[in-house]
Amino acid sequence: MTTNNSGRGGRAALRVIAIEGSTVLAALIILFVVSAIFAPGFMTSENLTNVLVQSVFLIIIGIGMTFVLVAGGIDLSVGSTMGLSGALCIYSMNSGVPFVLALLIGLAAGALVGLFNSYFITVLRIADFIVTLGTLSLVRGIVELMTANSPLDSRSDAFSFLTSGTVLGIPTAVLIAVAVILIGGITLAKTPMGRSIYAVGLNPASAYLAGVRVPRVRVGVYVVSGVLAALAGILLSSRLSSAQPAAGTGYELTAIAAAAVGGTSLAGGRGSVLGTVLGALLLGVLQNSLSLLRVNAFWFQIITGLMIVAAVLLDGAIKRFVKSQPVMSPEGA
Amino acid sequence: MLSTDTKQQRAEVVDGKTRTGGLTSRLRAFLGKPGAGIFIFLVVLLIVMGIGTPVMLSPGNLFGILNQMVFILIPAFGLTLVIIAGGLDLSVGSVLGLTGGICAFLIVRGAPLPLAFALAILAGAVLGLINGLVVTRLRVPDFIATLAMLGVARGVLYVWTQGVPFRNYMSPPYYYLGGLRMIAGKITIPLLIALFLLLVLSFLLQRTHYGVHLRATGSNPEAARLSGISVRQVKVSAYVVSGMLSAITGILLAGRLTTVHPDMGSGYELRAIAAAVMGGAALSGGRGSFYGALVGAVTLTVIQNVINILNLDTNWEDVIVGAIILFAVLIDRGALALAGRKSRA
Repeated sequence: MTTNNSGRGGRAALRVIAIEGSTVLAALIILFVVSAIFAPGFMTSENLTNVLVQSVFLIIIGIGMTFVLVAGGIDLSVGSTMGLSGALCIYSMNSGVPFVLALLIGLAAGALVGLFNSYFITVLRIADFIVTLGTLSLVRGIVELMTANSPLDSRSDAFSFLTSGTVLGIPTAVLIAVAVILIGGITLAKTPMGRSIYAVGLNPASAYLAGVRVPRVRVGVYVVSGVLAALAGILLSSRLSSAQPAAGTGYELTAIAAAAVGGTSLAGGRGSVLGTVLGALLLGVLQNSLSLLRVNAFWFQIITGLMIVAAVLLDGAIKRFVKSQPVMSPEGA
Repeated sequence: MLSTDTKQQRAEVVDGKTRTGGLTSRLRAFLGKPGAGIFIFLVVLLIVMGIGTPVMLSPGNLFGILNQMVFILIPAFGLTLVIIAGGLDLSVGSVLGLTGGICAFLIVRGAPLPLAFALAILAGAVLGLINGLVVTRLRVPDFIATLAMLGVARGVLYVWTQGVPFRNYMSPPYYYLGGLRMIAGKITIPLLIALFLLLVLSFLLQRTHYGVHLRATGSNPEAARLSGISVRQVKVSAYVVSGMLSAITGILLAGRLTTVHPDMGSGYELRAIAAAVMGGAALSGGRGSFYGALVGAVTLTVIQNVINILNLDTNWEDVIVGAIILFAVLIDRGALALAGRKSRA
């Protein structure tokens, strides 16, 4: 898009900001440099690997959340789904189910939660916020019933390898995250399926008139979100070698924060997988350096809250800027 | 919007009378009210439980339920108000904790009780005002703005207290106010306060211009604006009242628990939303009732009570509450369908 506008300072800045992910990338670089200078022990390879592995959970759920948010929905049930898949996976292995099958059972549980959510949303037409709030409570209750009285511990080495092992020197969990980023990013940005998700989020009515099967897209994004939450839950329980009753609690809010900070519009229709990954890394680095600096952990909560609002305000400013631009100037080509 | 709604209802009542007589039309009018479906569910639940375990319906147990449900009910009033105005307030649990902490802190520092209560309620109003201004002026979606407030208010309480609970603020009058000492046998002051608020808020919603403006704002903000209603002010006021109601709950709960842990009230937003939605409040705005919220809060507490009496694993509570949130809208819709009116949930 070219403009015939004489670039005033603010406008030029906004034009750069409007490139998706550029603000969050800049923020990440600044935070990284500041942490490297001030936080003791930040730049050790051990700590950096730790930050990366810790961020994997948020990156994976954040990508699922991005699919849902871009389609104009919301999924509050991901944290509970994490707990459910981890518990089911360990429970199956302890009952003698083979490793790979146990993983599939965990992932299938996530898909099932996604189908359940989308049934209530698309067929019964109940507000997505209410439906997924209900599943949040329902699924968390099931996790508690499964684990509260007798915590589930894993004794499988293969299961621990998912997060503690390395392949060619790279932690397995990071490799899994990279695979999810590539598949998720390409699906959302480069395929017809991805384009129909944006279309549904921007305007469901016109998407329907353009031939997009709106209910099918909605079911699809909730299943993707459920499966990715399940994957993150399996990795989390692998890292802890056990399934805790409260595993994954609160991740729904951090995932929304990562997506929002990464430039995904909560009104639907705008967002990218890469932005969310950068947002998740930003939150991960922030949490890490605050703990290295021995700052009260609850500052993280305050800062995250303020960052979400700031991100939404920036999103609004960008939208108004894009609207104010002429679509095509005569000499543009 | 509102006037056509009531006209339609009146027309149907008249219609019903001509067709099938008084009783059916009155039944239909009842079923069309928010929360009617859950009310029937609650009555059936109480009857079934009462037959199985008569303890359930003993006055002691019933008053126990009522005295306990207050701490969900008052924040649920705030949520009902905000939802009617077309918004959503996720911050009630955190605001409740922070204002309860402020109240306890002031008393420990020697402030007289009325001053401590007034300042805590003022703090709740300010937090609500911030929510309202961020939503209306900065145009941040309700859900996000109050989600941020949920994190920030809770974080401030933790950073402020360093995780150390407030203690040693209790005094004889505060034992009454928190409901640990009862008056007239089994009635607590928090219950009386909640019932007083119910009457005031219902009057406000049903009988004043403010109530009309509130529902108009939630039903159709654009139409409300064109008819000269200051939509922004109405919405901000709903958030302010919700903040004040959370603060009142925080003060009462601090009296009930005798210590304010920095975690006090976390997760209450979920129960309060559940109560409001069970009471027929529709997230699309414009519809909701304080009596409905009462039915919702009672139902939630009865379920808790049933789990205790049947000696079930307490973790069933989350499962059942989740299922009820999912089905409340369907039950409300079913009642509306029986009443022959269209749902807007």
